[in-house]
Amino acid sequence: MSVKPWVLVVDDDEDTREMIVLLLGLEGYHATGACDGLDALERIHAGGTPPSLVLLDMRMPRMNGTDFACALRRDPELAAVPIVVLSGDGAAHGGPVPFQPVEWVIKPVDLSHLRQIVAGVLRPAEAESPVP
Amino acid sequence: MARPSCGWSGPSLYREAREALAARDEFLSVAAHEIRGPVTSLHLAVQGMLDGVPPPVAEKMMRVIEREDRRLARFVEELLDVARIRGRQLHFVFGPVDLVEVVHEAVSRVAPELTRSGSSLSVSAPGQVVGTWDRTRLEQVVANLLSNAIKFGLGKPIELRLEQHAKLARLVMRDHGIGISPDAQARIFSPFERAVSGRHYGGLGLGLYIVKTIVDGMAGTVRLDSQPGSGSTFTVELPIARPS
Repeated sequence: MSVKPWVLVVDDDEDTREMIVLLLGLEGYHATGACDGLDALERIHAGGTPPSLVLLDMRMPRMNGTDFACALRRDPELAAVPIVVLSGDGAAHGGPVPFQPVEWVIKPVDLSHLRQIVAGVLRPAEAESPVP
Repeated sequence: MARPSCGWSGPSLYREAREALAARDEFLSVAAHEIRGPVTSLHLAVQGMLDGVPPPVAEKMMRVIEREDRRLARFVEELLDVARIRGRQLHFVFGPVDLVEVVHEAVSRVAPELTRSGSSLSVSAPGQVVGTWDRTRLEQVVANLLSNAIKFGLGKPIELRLEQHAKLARLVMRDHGIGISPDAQARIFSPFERAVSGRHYGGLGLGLYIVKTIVDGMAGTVRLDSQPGSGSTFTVELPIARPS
């Protein structure tokens, strides 16, 4: 039985988060949202298994994208989770970040580009990523 | 180069100019970020609909489009207001206004935002609080204070109280959210300032500046009492009669 890859969308903008979750759901992914880094960590730990991909905003309340990504990288079970930054913060793009994202996309992102990025990351891993 | 012999404040002017430039740069960065959010949602919703998503999803997308359209319109209004304020072109149209009515309208407009925040709102008011004010500008004051309480209220209850006194009307907005530190309280009513970093909370950081300018323009006062971690109370007092 094939399982759907889990895409965790971490963004404090509720409408952006809802749009991405809806659209990736239609693409056949198991997409869920988290409103900031802390919420995302809680959902990952509650899920019991790592997400197949994290789409990560950078400016967020409570815990921002950088702190969340560092927390993920420090955890041996989560360190390999691929992260795609999806940020409206153009100024931060190109600056030093203490984690290695697969890609850094500046908002606004086109639907076709979003599909392409997610498929590009998940295609090889689809068979092994269980739904939490 | 010779310096003027008295009243020379070059270093402090230079420092102030640098701080103003830094605040402006931060504002531009925050504004770009804040505008990219709704534009992203609009992009994805419109492109999803053009792709022919199922009707229930299309309905959700239409709601997002409607919400984001209003959000962008609000940003534009705020920016235009700042331009008007700086150009001394913020005009007031005075007439009889019932503040209770204004509050109820503002509350109904922020209802979706309020529901999503998890905060409850209780309004305590007499039947009417009537004075001679600019209705549209007063709506802005109430809406901005409400949005502020919702944004920084941590989903906790918000209380709004109206009082009519002999010569003045009082509006008290209390939240139980993150609160504001004493040093931030001194600058929170300035343009392009916010008590917390723009990296953590949304908005352009113009709302309270606009509130203060409007309240000043109607000869009123706005006061803030706050402790970090204990929430904030904004008190607006407006003379009932039109300022001379």
